[in-house]
Amino acid sequence: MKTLSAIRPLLLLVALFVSLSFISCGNSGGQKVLRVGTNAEYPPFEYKSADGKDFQGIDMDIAREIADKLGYKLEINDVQFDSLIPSLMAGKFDMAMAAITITPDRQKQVDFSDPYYTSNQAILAKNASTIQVNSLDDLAKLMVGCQNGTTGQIYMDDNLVKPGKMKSDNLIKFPTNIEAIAALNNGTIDALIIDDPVAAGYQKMQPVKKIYVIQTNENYGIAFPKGSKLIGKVNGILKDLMSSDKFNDLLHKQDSTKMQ
Amino acid sequence: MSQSVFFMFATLPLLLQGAVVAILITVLSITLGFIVGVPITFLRIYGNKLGRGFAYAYEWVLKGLPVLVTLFILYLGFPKLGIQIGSFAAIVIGLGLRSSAYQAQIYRGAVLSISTEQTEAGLSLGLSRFRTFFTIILPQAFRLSLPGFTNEFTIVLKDSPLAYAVGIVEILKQGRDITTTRGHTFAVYLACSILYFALFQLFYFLFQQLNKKFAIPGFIFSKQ
Repeated sequence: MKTLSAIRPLLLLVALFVSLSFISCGNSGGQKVLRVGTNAEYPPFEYKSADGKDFQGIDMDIAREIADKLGYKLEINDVQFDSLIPSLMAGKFDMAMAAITITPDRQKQVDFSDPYYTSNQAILAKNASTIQVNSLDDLAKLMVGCQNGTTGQIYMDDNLVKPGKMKSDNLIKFPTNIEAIAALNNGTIDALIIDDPVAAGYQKMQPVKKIYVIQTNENYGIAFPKGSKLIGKVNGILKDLMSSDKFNDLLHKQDSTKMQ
Repeated sequence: MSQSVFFMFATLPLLLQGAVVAILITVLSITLGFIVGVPITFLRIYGNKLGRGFAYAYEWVLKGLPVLVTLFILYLGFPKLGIQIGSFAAIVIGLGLRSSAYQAQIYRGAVLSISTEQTEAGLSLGLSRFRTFFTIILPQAFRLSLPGFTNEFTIVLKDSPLAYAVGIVEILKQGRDITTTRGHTFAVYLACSILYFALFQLFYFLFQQLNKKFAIPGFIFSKQ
């Protein structure tokens, strides 16, 4: 039974790995762990450092500050944006930070901290593009890309597609911004709707330009599972942070960071 | 262009870290598939009516589900039942259970392809049914199932990128993280595909060596 005896050590090894992977899922160690969910594909709010080791960006710096003040160890989990709220509801994380706009629909599912950032929606086009957008009606005639589940997508659907001003085939919903930006560069779409500060981030790293801004005055908040006991404490920490110079430095750091 | 080629090489260290994770996911999933698949094979062939029915239903359901859906059910759905499954465990269980259904089919085909005369010969020599199976049928069946197993292994390897959906940093996710801040979409995904293909070739080669090593000398598949 040569085949079986060859498999046996492998089985042992695998059993070890499996048991290890299950152990690592628990919160071992004495220090409490703050499990933060994010979608690190969204500079300048959250992205991976060039060596792939660290999570960087405005949200990540705020998360570090919060964990620090709470005296918790920070654990960042990187999942898809549209999985963040389901993950919170499934108890995977203690909070989610991913430039999440506070909306009434989302508030039905999760609780939010006080707002920590105000943003608008921007329209991006290729540098070489001659397209001009001066109104929503101009936008309705274009092939527009968006990331599914974002407020940009919801805005386009609510204000242009549902009222019948724009063909639903002309609004292309991508799973993430990575595909959307690639489609813009390839010419598959004419324009991309995206949060304004993120548009500014992409302008620095990709051959794209901002051609229009829709004033939506959205507020970003930290999302928590309903009834989380952390919200009060985190709001306190946020308030202190935002009234300090540290917050300005933290935003400024991203302005001056060259991503390339 | 030359810049892109250079960039492909620059991404390699990160992608190789991802490759280690991809291999780990594949090996663990295949092993889980083996551990669950073999008993399913037995049930399907030697079980009573209830056992055969269960094994049939098991294969039928798992072969009909997309892995991504199973993955989301395990990772995001099960917590509703009070069962928390970590992201790594979820992908291994998701890929492993689907693989168990396919592996069961592979082993069943191999066992059934060994002629009943061999079992009769074993029994007439005074061996028990159990010993006949383990000393005569199984060693041959293992060898016969190797090509199918190789195929299944590479299929699981190529499905491992689904892990990125629950945030596991394997090859594809490493690549995506690089394009987020540094662009070069084509170069990065090309580098990913070359790496996947290299892994595929590596395991294909290894299993072929195994296949040669365990080939049955003088084995004839059919009498024609």
